Amino acid sequence: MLRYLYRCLLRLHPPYFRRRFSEEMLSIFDQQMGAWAAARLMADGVRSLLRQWWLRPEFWEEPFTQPAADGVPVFYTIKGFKPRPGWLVDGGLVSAVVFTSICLVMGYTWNHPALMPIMSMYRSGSKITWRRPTSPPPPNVQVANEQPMYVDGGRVVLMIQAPPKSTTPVKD
Amino acid sequence: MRAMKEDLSEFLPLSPATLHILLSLAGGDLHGYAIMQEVKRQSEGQYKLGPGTLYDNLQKLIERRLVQDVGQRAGDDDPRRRYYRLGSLGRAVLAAETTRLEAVVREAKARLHAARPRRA
Repeated sequence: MLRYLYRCLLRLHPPYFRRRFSEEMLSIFDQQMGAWAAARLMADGVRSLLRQWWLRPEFWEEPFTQPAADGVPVFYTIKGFKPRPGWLVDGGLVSAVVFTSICLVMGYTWNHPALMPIMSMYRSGSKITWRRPTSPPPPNVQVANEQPMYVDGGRVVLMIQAPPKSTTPVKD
Repeated sequence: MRAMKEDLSEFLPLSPATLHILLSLAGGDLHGYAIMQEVKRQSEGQYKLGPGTLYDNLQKLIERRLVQDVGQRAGDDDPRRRYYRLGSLGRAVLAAETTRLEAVVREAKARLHAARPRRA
């Protein structure tokens, strides 16, 4: 029973390690006498399984080796290289932070209307006051006559409302 | 020679498992189970190497060309056994580690000797 479990444990190892060493490991298991020694090997097998999957991604598949030839340089290739899961998590985290920062910078610059009240309050240290312009708007500005206009610290914000929907049917 | 030493320094210091495996193979070609037995003998039973740790280290040593896999041998009791051989680079690394450890032991002895309380 323990041998069967140990064999299953070996089958769960990464393919390259399994192909190369599982028969030898099973051979060592067969030479152990007693339940205590077998249980110790089971524990060792579990540790090995975790170690191979978590800490040895470079050995999941057979490493690609280029045969050296005289006078020809041998280049290292990363074809069979697989990064550790921890590196992937770190990379994902850094990418998310950078992406979020860029989005924030692009969407909410200091001159963006959404941030203007906040910036005005920050600069003046006072409460935001909205007021309608007292002087009549110039006659050539049509939007200002129809839409409310707010002035804050010398900046003018136009609040443009959507036009009401027409109730009259369109004639063909 | 100096370049060779600099190259070897990247392997040092060796982990206990690696040191014991290289030391076991320094006496000749051995299969996995024999390496485990040899390590147990060297350490007088204090360091027991499991198959998982053994083959994990062998995998790395073969990849770094310190140890060679010489395959199966005809006439062995168990045909599943494969034999491993210490390569020339492995032997050089083992020698460098031994020199390093000698220096450590020498330094430790000198300090312990200096710190020993004198008799009145």
